[in-house]
Amino acid sequence: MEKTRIPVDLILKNLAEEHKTSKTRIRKAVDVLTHQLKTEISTTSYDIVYQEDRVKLKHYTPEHIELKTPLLIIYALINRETMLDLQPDRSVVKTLLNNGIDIFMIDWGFPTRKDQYLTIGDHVNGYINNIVKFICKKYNIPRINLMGICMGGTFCVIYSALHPEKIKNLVLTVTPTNFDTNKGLLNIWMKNTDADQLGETYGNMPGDLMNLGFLLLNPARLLIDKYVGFLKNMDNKEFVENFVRMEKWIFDSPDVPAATFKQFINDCYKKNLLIQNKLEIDGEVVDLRKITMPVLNFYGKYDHLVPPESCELITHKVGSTDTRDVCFDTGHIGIYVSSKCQKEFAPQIADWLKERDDSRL
Amino acid sequence: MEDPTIAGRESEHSAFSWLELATGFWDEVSKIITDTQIPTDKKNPLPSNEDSFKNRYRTYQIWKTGFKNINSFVQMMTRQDNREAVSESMVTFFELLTQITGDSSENLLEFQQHILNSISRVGEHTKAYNFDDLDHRIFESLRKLYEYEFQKYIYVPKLGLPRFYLERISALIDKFNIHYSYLSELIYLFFVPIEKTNRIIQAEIEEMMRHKDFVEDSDALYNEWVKMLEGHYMKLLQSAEYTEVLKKTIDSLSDYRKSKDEVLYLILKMLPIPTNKEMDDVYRELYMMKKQIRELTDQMNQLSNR
Repeated sequence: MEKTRIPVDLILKNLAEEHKTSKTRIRKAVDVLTHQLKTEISTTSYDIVYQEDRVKLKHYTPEHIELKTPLLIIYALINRETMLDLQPDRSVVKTLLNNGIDIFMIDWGFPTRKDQYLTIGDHVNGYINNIVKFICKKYNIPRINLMGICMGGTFCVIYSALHPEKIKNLVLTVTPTNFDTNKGLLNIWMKNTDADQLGETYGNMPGDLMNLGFLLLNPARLLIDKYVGFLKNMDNKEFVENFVRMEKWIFDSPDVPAATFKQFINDCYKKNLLIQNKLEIDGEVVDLRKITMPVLNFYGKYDHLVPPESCELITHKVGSTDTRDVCFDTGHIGIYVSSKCQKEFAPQIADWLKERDDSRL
Repeated sequence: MEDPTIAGRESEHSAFSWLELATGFWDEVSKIITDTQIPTDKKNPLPSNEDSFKNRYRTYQIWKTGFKNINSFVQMMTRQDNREAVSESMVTFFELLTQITGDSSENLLEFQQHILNSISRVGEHTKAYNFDDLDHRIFESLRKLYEYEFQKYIYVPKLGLPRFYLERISALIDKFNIHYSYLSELIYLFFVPIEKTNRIIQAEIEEMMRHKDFVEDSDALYNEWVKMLEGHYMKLLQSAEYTEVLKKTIDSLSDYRKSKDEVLYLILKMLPIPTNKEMDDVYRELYMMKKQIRELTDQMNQLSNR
């Protein structure tokens, strides 16, 4: 058998080169990390115009209003709405403002133990409905435009089915409505989760525990490769700033009220009631056929949290004849933050809304 | 295996000899204490105002009574008519001991067998993206060992005034042990893809070196490693085994937390602090009241709009 020759000379040469570059990189990185970094998120200015319990309503006013009908954005109860305004050059909020859209956005705040009994109904028929009524009254209009993100999108679907007279156009982004799929790991795990037991144990579902679950969905990338990438680029100030912003957003995770969490897991993930028109909210059946307003539906082809199978069925189930599905070649968060999608995602929403706004100024 | 009855009979003779010796010993000790240490009313009258001396005398009396009791007990055991009963009890004790150690030996042997099987697999060839050879039954075996050998002692009925507290503390210990075992199994499973990827990459490097095709670009090698690791994780995390262990870990964590909260609740009850349970009741009432007020406000608004 031929003996394997280890190319020691080559290994030593590589090590020497690596050592030299690493040394320079570390010296630069120390310089970057010890100096002032711009890592603030959600820097676009807004006013708090409404507050109920922990829930606040942010109002972003554009320099010039092009659409008379304002847009209400509803984020998920998991993570925070600051993702839509992560950094000035990658801000969905800013792009929509530049397109003359008057934006309202719900900040769900941080639920405490006293919020553990709040159900999906309390969020949809309570907070969201009160906010919609507030905006309609403020502008003296009967309907507003509604946009939902992830679980917030599911809330928007429920709201639009229960109160169709108050919604002019509905925009859904990475919104799970069909849970009968084993494509995403989340779907597999949630079906095996005893939500009642977790609710009883923790009161509210801890944000940190959910974040740990999300990290475990792809440990190789999210626990190893991501930080290897950081180490390789920590001498790049811009990279570090963007990285820290993202870290701030990811781990800024509020708890989810226990009753809502239980209802979402049991009725949606386990029984898949919403898409079958069987979901009951406050004693009323959510009938998707009552969604007769135009619907624009975005989702990511490589979304491992809400796979396309979870999103694409909704446009076939609603009563509206004006529907459009848009699939981006990206993941769950990429739709909002990747530089490629920044050029397409928010401008498409603005154009679509403008096409359907009969009251353009 | 040796017959426990024979073992019991053999020890019978030496035990009774020892008991007779013990009787003599305690008898002597009792006499010595009575004669030399304890003051009597006639020889050494007790000074009536000396409390310390009084206490010391009381201590002697307690000692004396104690020795007498031991002596009586030992004498009673060595009496001819009681010997048979004592002898039977000793045999029963040996039988019981053998039964306990017998069960333990069987369970320990089974556990040992799993360990040996695992060791024998070290260095075996591993297939990429295949988790058929997952060897996590050792944890199941460890759990069984715990359930058969230790759990029953944790749940021995608690008696008396502290029963309520002891039961909760025992439950906490038990739930922690169970959770720890599932957590260990989950951590083990979680590291399997890393181990598998490392072995495969190692084999690939060796193969490349055999062909004198040395990897110069460490980044490319890392990228291949991380891509393979991702693939392994995707495969493992969707497997029924992992999902089952994950579910059991979360469930056991919930059980452990509940037991911990029960113990904390007992501690908090002694402090002037409201517990979560008490606050939850208040929050529930508050929630119901707010809901009712909201509904009534809506009804009032509707009526006033008419």
